[in-house]
Formats: sequence, structure tokens, C-alpha cells
Amino acid sequence: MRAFIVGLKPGLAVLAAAAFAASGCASSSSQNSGSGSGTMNIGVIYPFTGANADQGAIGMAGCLTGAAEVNAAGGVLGRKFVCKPFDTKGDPADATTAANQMMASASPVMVIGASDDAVTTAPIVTAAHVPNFATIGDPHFDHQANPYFYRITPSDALQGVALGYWAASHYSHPAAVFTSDLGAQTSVPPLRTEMTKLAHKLAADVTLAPGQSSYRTEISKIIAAKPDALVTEMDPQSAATFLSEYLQLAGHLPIILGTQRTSNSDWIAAVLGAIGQADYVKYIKSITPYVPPASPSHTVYAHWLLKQGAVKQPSQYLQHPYAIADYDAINITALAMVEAHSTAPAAYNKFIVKVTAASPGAVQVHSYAEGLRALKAGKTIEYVGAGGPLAFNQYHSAERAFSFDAFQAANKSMNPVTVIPGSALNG
Amino acid sequence: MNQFTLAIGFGLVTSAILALGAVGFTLQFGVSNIFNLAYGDVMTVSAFTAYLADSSGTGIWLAMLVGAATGAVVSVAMSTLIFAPFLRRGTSRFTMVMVSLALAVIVQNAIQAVAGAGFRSFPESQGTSLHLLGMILTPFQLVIIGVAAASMLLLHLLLRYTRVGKALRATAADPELARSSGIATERVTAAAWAISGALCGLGGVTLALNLASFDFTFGNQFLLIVVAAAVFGSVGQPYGAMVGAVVIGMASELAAIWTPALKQVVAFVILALILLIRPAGLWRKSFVQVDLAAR
Repeated sequence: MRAFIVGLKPGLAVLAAAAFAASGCASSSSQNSGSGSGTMNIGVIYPFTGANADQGAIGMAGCLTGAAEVNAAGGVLGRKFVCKPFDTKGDPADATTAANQMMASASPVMVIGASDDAVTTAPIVTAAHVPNFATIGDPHFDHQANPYFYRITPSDALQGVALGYWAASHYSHPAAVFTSDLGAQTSVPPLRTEMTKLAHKLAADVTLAPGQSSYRTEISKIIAAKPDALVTEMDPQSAATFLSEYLQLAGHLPIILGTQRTSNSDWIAAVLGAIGQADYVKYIKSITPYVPPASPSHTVYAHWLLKQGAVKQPSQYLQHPYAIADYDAINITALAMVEAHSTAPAAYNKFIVKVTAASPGAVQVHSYAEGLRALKAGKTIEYVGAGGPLAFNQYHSAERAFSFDAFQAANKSMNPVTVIPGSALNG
Repeated sequence: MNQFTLAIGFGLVTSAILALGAVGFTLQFGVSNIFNLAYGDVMTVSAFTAYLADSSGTGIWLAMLVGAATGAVVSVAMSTLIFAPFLRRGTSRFTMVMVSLALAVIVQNAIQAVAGAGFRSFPESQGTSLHLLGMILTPFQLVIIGVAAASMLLLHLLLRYTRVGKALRATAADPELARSSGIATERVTAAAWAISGALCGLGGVTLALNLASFDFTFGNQFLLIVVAAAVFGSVGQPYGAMVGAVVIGMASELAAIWTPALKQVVAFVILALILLIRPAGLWRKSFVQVDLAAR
């Protein structure tokens, strides 16, 4: 894009540059070497514009909350965190530009994100030997071996198993309806496998093209299969169109069993407007990474989320597993830095797994301040996050339990109703 | 329910929305020679203003008019303030495409800055589904089909039987000759932008109504298929765009019976095949020639 602007006539270049700046690509000029005095930048790389802009807001909510907590405790080795957003726009080409720009202009000591875009951003971040805490569900990362890459939310493979388990256990004729984008499709093979394993058949198994102006023909076929539940993942726009048309054609909806995407505020806003609150409350459910509603860590998270003052409508992120995962990543990083006596990424990276691992004699800590005190006292710590224990496996994936969630009109968010035991998913 | 008949009904709705968008796009190109990639974002702006009007209690009919008026005003403003100065400097056609691309990004980000990234839904309910000749349509969808059909008829009458229509055809055929014949081509071009902008605005409102929820990106997302319908019918040919909208709309809905994930791909394969056989698109004669032949 920048090369393109350079080659244009002056008037056109001004126009194109204005477009470029307006699109949120203008970079920060702050420099941070990752060591020495001053502040430390945290790169937050997600889509902040476009169809998945919600991911950016979620990432910043987690980052700002974690940074507020760490900074209030005096920072890390005297240095404070600053969250710097970088916009992938949900597009691989823009994601590459954003990642390069982030590494060049912000010199982050850690990076949060991306989600689906991590396929392109993570290699750029980790090549600079900077720890990258991503929320990508793609099962291709299940056995990754990059020492600087960490996945702080469950694999879509496990998400698919959880969906299949719940659908097979609770519905007689569930159908699978997923859009064809990568983020949605990664849950489908494990869902099918789990259904087969539990001796259940899908009433219909449909892949939709995302972002269409209508899905009526597809819906009429699905209705003919008489499903009592739709297991699904779609972007907000497609979901709103699909579900409103389903309601028009069938007169009612079956149970809609969604994924984490169903819990995002943009999805809720789009579908709520399309089908109305009564039907939303009645039919929309989801299977998401479980966040304990009450725990010492969550209390600290909630305190700083509501106190930091920079996040719009912070209460929407109180139970959000991805915002919480990003928050936990900051506490883990800060504690690893303290343990390493260094803010240099290559030095503290070796301690990330150590501060989260359960080991004999390790003291469980639930906040940065508590962990800092324990480390200063010479103790070994196990950080238990607001999202529960975050023990990384050998591939640096933090596996979590799942929950069956329902919509609460009072706070306009999905909330856990039942925890799906890990034994059900592993066995 | 017969899947084929149902798909025909659903295809009619898709075609109607596409026709509004594609005819507006192609009319703009026919007179100005500008391949305007900001067109989808004008659809979005129009849908947002119509939503504002509807939410303030005007009702959907007046809101549609507000959307059409917004499309007309924004399009004329774009033409006068952005495209015309570049054209006066002799900017090449390809560069003008880039100008429109830059404009699209600016408009889209401006909408986000003003309206936010959230989704909106028109307050009206789609109503109870009606069963007609084996098809299932809501009253709103019948309205969409009716609005599109009426717009196409009005455009046809305008182009064939009014002085403005004659001036439009003359300007599209040969702007220099039209100017030397006493036609105020700048005003005619502005009229073309206004008419095509109004169609664009109507297309945006009907698309937003059909989607149930929309955000600041939706018009841009649908630009590709609007352009496909216009190209299918030969860019610059309103009647061709009407046919293109019907073919693309029907093909994608019928394809959805067998391969929902590839419904748009099937439509584009048909487009590619048509262009292989007829590189200039389906509609060989310009709307000027068609009219002359009819006399």
C-alpha cells in the first residue's frame, strides 16, 4: 500500500494516504527495546476494523486490564506496560503488514493475538524471539514446536469435540451448519468424529458460503431434515441473515448451539436485532471455554476491568474467555519477567511455562501482586488465572474445560449454565 | 415443498436487489466511464440514513426514499468534488479506478467513525411468510421485488421517452458530439450520477432489509456480485445489467440446492463462460443502439 501511494500523482497520493491513515494503519512511533528503563510495549494484534473488529476490542479489554493491574503493583522491575493496538483487518495481507509494522515501530516485549490471522502474524512475531500469546483455534497449531508461541485458548479440535458431545447427549436430530471460512471449519471434522463415536448421526451437514444476501434455499433443505438443534459457527452478518430467514420459513428456530463466536458482542447485537430478544433467549445457546464465575483470580480481574477506565462497556467482558485469556497472558509474562530478573523476551520466555506449572511445593497465586510477593520471598509459584489453571502442554497449548452457556437478557451476554467435564471430552 | 420452485422464488428476491445495484452501477459507468469501486459504500451510507429515518418513525416507505435521496446526493457529490477534478486533469481510466478505491476506504472508515462498528436492524418485522405458486415470500420481499420492478420500469420510460433520457443516451454514445449539439453534458452527467445514486441507495436499503442486520462493511461486501451482474450484461448497459442480475441471482439460488458452499462460485463460473463466448458481455447492443433500432 505504501509503495503504491509513493507511485501516484500528488493529488491522488494525498487521497490514498488519507484512506490509508483513516483505515487505522498509521503506526505508533514509540520505540521500545524490551530492556532498560521506561515503558514496555505490548503488541495487541487483532482485527480492529472489518467484520471481525470485535476481536480487537476484546484483546484490548484484556490487555488494558492486565496492564492496569501490573502497573498498579509498580510494574515489572520498575517498568510499566503500554498496550499498542495493530489492525490486521481480518485479512492475511493486511495482517502481514500490521505484524511487520508492529515489530518495527513498537518493539513489543510480548504480543497478544492474533486469532485466525495468527497463521500469518505468529511467524513474524516469533522470528523476532518475542513471546506470542495467540487465540487461534486452528488444530494445525496443536503440535507446534515454536518455543515463542503460546496458545491461551483451546484448540478448535477440542471445541468440535465439546460441540459433538453436547449435541449427541442432548438432541436426537442435530444438524451441523457452518460457514466455509477457516475459523468455522476447523471445528467440523472433530464434531463429526465425536458424533460418530457417540453413535449419533447428523440430520444435515451443511457448509454455507459466508456473507450471502440470502440463505433461504439452504434453509429450506435443512428444514426438510427436521433438526431439533443446529450446531453452528458463522460470522455475525451471516448468522443474522440465516437465523432471521430460518425463523421466517419455519416459524420457529431449533436450538442453536454455537461456539465462542456466538458469545461475542457483535454476534449478539447482529442476531438480537434480526430475531428479537424473546427468540434469542429461547433458542440461542453456546459451548465455550469455561470461565469460573467466582474465583480469587476472577475477582482481581473484575476489579481491574471495571477500574481501568479505558474500555467501553467493560462489564461485557466480565465472563469473556478470550478477554480473560489475554489478561492472564499479561500476568504470566510479568511474573516470568520477575522470575527471570529480565524484561528481555529471550530471557524471560524460558520462565513462562514455569510460572504456570503445578509443581511440588509451588504456591498458587491469583494475581500479579500476589505472585510478585511470593517470588520476592523466594517461592516457586503456579499462576492460576481468571480463566482457571493455565498449564501449558508440551506444545504450549493451554487446555481448558468447556461450558454450556445461555443468554441472559439482563447483561446481554452468554453465561455458563453447565460445565462439561474434561473427562467427557478426553474419554 | 419443491426445492426448485422455492429456489426460484428466493432467486427473484436476490435478483431484485441485485438489479437495483447493478443497473445503478452500470448506468454510472455508461455515462461517466468511471468504474466506481466506492459504489458499495454509497449503498451502506444510504442504508444507514434510511435506518435513521425509519428509527425516528418515518416508516419504511419514506425511509426508502431517504435512502434513495442519500445515494443520489452522495453520488453527485463524489462525482463533482472528487472524480470531476481528476478527469479535468486527464487522469487515466485505471487511475480513476484507484481513486474510487481510495474513496471507498475513506467512506467506509467515515461511516465507522460516525456510526460505530455495531450492527443495526430495521425495526420492521419481515411479517408472516406467504405461500405463492409454490414459493414462500414475506410481504417485505414482495415489496423489494415490487420496488425493483417499478424502478426498472421507470428507468426504461425515462431513457426512452424523456428529454433527459435522450440526453443521457446521447452523452453515453458520444459526449463531444452531444456537447456540440447543444446538450449540457455536465448537467446530464450529474443527472446520471443522481439517478444511478438513487438506484444505488434503494439497492442498499433493500439489501439491508433482506440481511436482517447490517454494519458499516455490508455494501462493500456485496459490491463484487453487483459488479458481476453488471459485467455479465455488458458494463454500461442498463438492460444487460437487469438480465445479468436475474441470471446471477437465479443461478446462485439454484446452485444452493446442490452445493451451498459454492453457490457464488457457480454464478461466477457461469459469468466466466459467458465472457469466454461473448467477451463484451451478454448485451451486445448499447442502450443507445437498442433505442434507435426500436424506432
